Amino acid sequence: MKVLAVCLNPALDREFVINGFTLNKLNIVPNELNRMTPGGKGVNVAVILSKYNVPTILTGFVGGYVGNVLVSELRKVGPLLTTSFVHIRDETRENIAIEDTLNHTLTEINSEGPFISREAYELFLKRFEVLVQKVKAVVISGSVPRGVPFSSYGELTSIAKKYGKTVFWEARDEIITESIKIAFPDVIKYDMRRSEKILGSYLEHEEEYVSAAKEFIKRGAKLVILSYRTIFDFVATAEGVWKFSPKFEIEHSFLLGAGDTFVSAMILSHLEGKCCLDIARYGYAAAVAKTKYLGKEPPKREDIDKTLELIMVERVE
Amino acid sequence: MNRVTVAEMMTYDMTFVFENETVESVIELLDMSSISGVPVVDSDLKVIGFISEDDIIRACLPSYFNLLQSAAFLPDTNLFISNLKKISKDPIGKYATKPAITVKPTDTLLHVADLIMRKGFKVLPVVDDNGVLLGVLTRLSVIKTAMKRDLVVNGQ
Repeated sequence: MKVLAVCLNPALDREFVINGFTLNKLNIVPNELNRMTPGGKGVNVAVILSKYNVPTILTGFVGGYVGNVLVSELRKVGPLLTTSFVHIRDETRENIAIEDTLNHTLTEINSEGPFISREAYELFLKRFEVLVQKVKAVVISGSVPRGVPFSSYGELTSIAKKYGKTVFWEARDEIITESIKIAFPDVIKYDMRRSEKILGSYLEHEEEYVSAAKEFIKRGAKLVILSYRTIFDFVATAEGVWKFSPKFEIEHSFLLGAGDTFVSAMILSHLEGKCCLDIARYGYAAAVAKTKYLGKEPPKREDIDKTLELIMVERVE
Repeated sequence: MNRVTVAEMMTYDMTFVFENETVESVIELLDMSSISGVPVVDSDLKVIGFISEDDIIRACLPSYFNLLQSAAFLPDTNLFISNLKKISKDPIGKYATKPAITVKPTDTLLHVADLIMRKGFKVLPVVDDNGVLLGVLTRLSVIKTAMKRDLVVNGQ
């Protein structure tokens, strides 16, 4: 196994396309417009990595009927994805999206998600320590369920670092701020979909992004990626700070899955012996390649290689 | 058909327990995950045993049970219940089958079918050359894989 992907709060994504969706009425969904897919950022990364032929172990918590459905959906991904979840009593999250292409509406119903007891969390930590020794890199990505501390990314990273593993994070500010008090990963990619907050402050100007990125490097990260106005990124290493931009116009409605593709492609590039700025370039090119079409499927390797020519890497410091 | 290997039939799932975990927690796991047994591993992920529902039931019955022709000879079910409560906090390692019978991804369908028939296993841990857990093989997946395969006649 090459990668251990941690998804503490996985989900089952349900998508219903109901044209003319009406409240207070029976809405029938044709089978072909009713889809069920495994979700959660760590799950998405594990699925993408297995599609790039990287043997990956996926761990976290699953529970209840929804959890069992999620695991059976993951079985369909193929032999390169091995699951190793801690089972809990509470139901795994279910995210329901009702899309109406006639009225152009999107109605979402997300369940609150499970509560993880201290005992279940400790069982998970013990299992993580055994699994982490069998891989080269660890990726921890996405939200944390109730009961799991925001500092959990730091706790897991300090265990992974004991065994000399390379650690990637993609998370929002609350998790990163608490977790870096315990341990620093090698690569931090900020999840800024809900808020442009970094280390407790809201950022606006480019200079603020540059200094925030430099701050992370000063504190111990090797590579930091801060997303700026959705399609740009500020990337920092010990050698400097760069701004990444696409050379063509990005279709915003095709952005779904671009962040997870970015992280997966960085891991892929790291496993192939690349370092620092090169892995960020490869990740960004993959994310940009992903925005050329609708859907969750990752881009082909040759499309990523072609897209490397279609991105601009400009040194800003 | 004997060229079908375990790698094609196995479930790529590494649900496992450590031998110091309690009987109670293992019963809880089997119930939550709808499985009938689970590999017991050490801190290096090497399979050191296997615990199944059968092992737990056997641990709660008196040692002379195997000599009886029927459970009707037992005084009452209270004996089973009180024994189950007595062992619930014990480490599972005490009741696991050790060493576990394991298979490798390269083993053939014929080999595992033989194990399943002769020993009556429902689940077999799949391990690598170092005995490290890779997944499990269930009886049903063996049957399902066999169903999907075309017949091979005279090697054709």
